[in-house]
Amino acid sequence: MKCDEIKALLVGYLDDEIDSEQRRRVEEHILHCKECAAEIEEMRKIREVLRKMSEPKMPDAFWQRYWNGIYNRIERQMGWILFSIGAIVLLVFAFYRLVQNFFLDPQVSIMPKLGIGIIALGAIVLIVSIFREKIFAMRNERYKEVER
Amino acid sequence: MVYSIRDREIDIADLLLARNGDKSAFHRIVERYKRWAFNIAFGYLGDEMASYDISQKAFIKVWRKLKSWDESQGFRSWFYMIIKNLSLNYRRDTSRLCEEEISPQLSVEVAAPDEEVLSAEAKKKVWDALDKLQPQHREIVVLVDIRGMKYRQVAELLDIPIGTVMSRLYLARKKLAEILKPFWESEL
Repeated sequence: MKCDEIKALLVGYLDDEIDSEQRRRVEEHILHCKECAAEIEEMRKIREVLRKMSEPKMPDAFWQRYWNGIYNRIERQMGWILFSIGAIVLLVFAFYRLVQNFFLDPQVSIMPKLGIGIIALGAIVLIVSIFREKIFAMRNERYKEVER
Repeated sequence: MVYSIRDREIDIADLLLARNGDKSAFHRIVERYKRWAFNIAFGYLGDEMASYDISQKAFIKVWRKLKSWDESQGFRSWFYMIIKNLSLNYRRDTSRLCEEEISPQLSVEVAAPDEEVLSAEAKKKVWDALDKLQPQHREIVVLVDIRGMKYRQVAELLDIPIGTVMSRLYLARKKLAEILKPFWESEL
């Protein structure tokens, strides 16, 4: 058996995930191949270290509050969605009234119209820019569809 | 966490109810999977608060995306991919901020393999070493060596052949040995 074939079975040998015939072939090979025997030893050591890495033990209170955390977040997200829809409706209405009662009013001079118009334009540019950046970030999400 | 046919049926029943807006069914899913989700995120992040945050976001994403969930895909591997993607995005977003903190302090000693328990410092050293692996190598090490899963379970979860599990595990352990060997070599 060649060394390359052994390497493919090496982790399975250590984790007892290969069949008895493969195990026998690995053991036979490492009897006369010092390089592979040394590699197995090294792998065994790193495996032992890794197996001592326990997952964190969180207190009961942490798990008891867990669902509330999720529920509150969903509730808050719903709140923000409703708030945003309401704000958009009001903004559209305010814009309509602004055009109707301010920009189209012949008694208001051109300077305040110009000032308010530029501020409104600036606000629209800022909002569009933020939305465009968000959409761009979503489309270019590096790990959006990580390959399996 | 062995995933039996019965578990799968229970998950599907609750997910279908949750898809129609049943909050109590969704609550049951959260109760069954909260520890699992937290630990999967922890495997990628190595940080308790970040894992709490990401696992919760993953559940919220499940709630929002249930309409598009394909029953034939199986819940666990779908949920796993959601946690994985959120964790990797989080790591990417915070990596620049944490670069200095993550960089290894060579003076810290890692416990030799024959020591029973790893100290907090040694654990940090191993997490730092895991950070240096490619994500697809790191996840195999975490699932097999830290979570104690069998190759077949990992292959099912990640939807990859067992041979790929073995080859990735081999490369990951080899790389980790390279990184960590100098820290314990003097004690062997």
